[in-house]
Amino acid sequence: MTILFYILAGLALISAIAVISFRQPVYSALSLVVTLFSLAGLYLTLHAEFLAIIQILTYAGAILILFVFIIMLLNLNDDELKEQTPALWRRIVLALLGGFTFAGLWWGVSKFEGDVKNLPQGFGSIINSGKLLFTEYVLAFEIAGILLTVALIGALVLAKRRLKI
Amino acid sequence: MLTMSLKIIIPFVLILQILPIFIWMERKGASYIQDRRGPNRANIFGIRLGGLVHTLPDVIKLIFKEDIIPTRANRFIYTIAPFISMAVACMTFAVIPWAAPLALEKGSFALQALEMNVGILYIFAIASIGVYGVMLAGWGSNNKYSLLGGLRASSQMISYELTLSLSIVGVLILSGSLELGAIVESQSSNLFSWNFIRQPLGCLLFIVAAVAETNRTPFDLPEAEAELVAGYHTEYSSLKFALFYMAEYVNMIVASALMATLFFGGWQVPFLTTDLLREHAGIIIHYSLLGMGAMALLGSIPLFLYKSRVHYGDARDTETKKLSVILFIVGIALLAWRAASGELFFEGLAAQIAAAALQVGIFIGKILFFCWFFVWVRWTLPRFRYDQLMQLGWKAMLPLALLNLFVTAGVYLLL
Amino acid sequence: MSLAHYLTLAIALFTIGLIGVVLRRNLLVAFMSIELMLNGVNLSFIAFSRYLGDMQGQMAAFFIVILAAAEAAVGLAIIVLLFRRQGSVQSNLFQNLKDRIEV
Repeated sequence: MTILFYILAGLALISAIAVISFRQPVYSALSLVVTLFSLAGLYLTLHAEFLAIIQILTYAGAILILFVFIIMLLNLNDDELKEQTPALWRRIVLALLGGFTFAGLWWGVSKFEGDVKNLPQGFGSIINSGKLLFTEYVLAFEIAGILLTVALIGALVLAKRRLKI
Repeated sequence: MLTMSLKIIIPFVLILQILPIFIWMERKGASYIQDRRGPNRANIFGIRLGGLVHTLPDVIKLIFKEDIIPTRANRFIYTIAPFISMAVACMTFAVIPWAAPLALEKGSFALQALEMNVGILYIFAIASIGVYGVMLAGWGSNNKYSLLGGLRASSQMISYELTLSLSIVGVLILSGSLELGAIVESQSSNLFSWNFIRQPLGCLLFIVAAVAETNRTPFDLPEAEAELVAGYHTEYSSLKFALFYMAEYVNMIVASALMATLFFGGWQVPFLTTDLLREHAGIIIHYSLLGMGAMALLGSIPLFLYKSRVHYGDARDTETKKLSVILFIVGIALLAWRAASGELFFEGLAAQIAAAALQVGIFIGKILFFCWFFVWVRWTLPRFRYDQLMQLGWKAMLPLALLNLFVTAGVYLLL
Repeated sequence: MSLAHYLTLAIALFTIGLIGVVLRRNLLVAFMSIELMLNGVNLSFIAFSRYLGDMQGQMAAFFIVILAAAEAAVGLAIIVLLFRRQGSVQSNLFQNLKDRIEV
C-alpha cells in the first residue's frame, strides 16, 4: 500500500510539473491526463471507487477531451506558442508565492492527525453515493444539473459564429 | 495471484482468437453481399477454409511493410496514438462476465477478471479514453485529412457516448445493479425476460449508438474514404496501422459482448438455468458431441462429391477431398468415442466447469452473431452526411433515450 | 499511509497549479493549471472523507467535478472566442481594458 502511494504520488507530482512546463499545450493536456489517472488510483486507495471512476469518466474522458479538441481546433503553430521567459524578479516573486502557499497550507494541515478508521461496509461504493446524492444532497444535485444546462447554453451562445449582416 | 493473472490473460487471449474470425467474416460477408467471391487464394497445402487462411498472410504483410513516419509529424504523439487505441480497446474486457460464478467451498468464484460495483461505468470510463487515440493520431500526423478525420471522430464519439450511456439506464433500473454479472443474472434464463424484450427502445438505441461509437458505416465519417482518404489513419502504415485496425475490431467485439450482456442475456442459455445445466451437463455434452460427430460425417459426403467448376492446377483442386477426409475421420472418431463410453456424468466442480464451458460457448456464439450484425449493417447501408449524423444523435436519439428512461422509471415505480 | 501524506500531496498539486496560473501566458495551459488546483482540493476532500469515515467529503469532490465540467465548457468557449478576436491565446495580448493615460 505504501509503495503504491509513493508511485502514484510521484507520478502525479511529476506529471503536474510537466503540465505547467511544456510549451506545447497538447503535451500539457496529456500530462494532465496522467495526473488524473494517478489521482484516480489514489482515490481507489482511499476507498472512493465511485469517485475514481467519475474522475476518469468525467475529467479524463470528457473535460480533457474537450481541451485537446479545442487545441486541435485552434491548431496553433510554433510562433503562437512562444512565450517570453519571465524576468528574474518575477521568477523570485513566483517562487516566494509558491513557497509561502505551500508552507502556509502545510502548516495548517500538519495539525490534522487522522487515524485509520474502520469503514462501514460499502463505503464509497456507488450505492451509498447514490443514496446520499438523492437524499441529503438532492437540492445540490438538482442545482448542479441546472448549472450544467446553463453552462451548456452559455458555451453555445459564446462560441456560436454570429452571422454577418 | 495466479488465478488473478489467469483471469486477466484468458479473456484477452480469447478475444484475440475471435479477431481473425471476425476479420474473415467481414471480408467474406462483404464479398457475398456485393456478389463476388472474396478472399480465396491463400492456402496451406491447398487448404483455404473458405478464405480463413487469408488472415495469416495479411498479418505477415502488415509486419513486413515499411513503417513510415512523416517528416513533419509529431513523432511522439504519432507513435503513441495507436498504442492508446489498442490498449484501451483491450482493457474494457475486464468486467464482462463469461459464465455463471462457480460455487467453491471458499465462496463464489466469478468468471470475470474484475468484479467492481461500478461495473458498466468502468467500461464507459475506459472507452472514453479511446477517443484520445483517434484524436492524437489525427493531430500528430500533421495532415489535413487526418486532422479532419480526428476532429470528426472525436466529436462523433463524444456525441454518441451520451446516448450510449443513457440508453442503458433503463436496464440498470430493471436489474438494480451496475455490476454486469448481476445484470446477466437478473435477466434469468427465460428468453422472454431478457432485456431486449423488456427494453426494446433502449436496445435499439444502444445498438445504433454502439455502431456510431465504433466509427462503422453508416457512421464512418471519420474515415470516409471518398472525402478524407482514410481519416485519422491516413498516414499510418505497417504495425501501427495494424494496431488501429485491430483496435477497431476489438472495439466492435467489446460492443457485441456488451449488447449480448446487457440486452440478450449474456451467458444465459435460453430456457436452461444454471442449476439445470449443472445437473445435466454430462448428457448435454454427450449428445452435442454425438450430434457434432453425425454432422461431420454427413457433411463429409457432399464435400467429397463436390466438383468445382474452377480448375486451379495446384493443391487447391483437391482441397474439398482433403477436408472431407478430415471431417470423416473426426466424425467417426467422435461417434465411436461417445458410443463406446456411454453417457457422461459430471458432479461437483466438474459439473460446474462443464456448465460454464457451455455458457461460455453460448456467449461467444452471441458475440459472433453481433459481430456479423456489424458486418451486415456496414455493407447494407450508405453513409450519413455529417449534419444528418449530428442531427440524429442530438435531436432524435438523445430525446428518445431520455423518454425511454422516464417511461421505464415511471413504469417501474407504478409496478 | 497517514492523512498527512495525502494532504501534503494535495497541497503540492495546488501549489503547482497556482504557479502555473501565474506563470503561464498560454490561456489553455493556465486553464489546465486551474484544473490541477481543483484536483488538489479534490484529493484533500477525499482523504479527509477516508480518515473521518464520512462520505460527505466524497460528495463535495463529486460536485467539484461537476463544477469543473461546467467551467471547462464555458471557459473553452471564451478561449475560442478570444482566439477568433486576436488570433492568439497569449493572455498578455488581451489588454484592451488597460488604462493608457500615462503612456
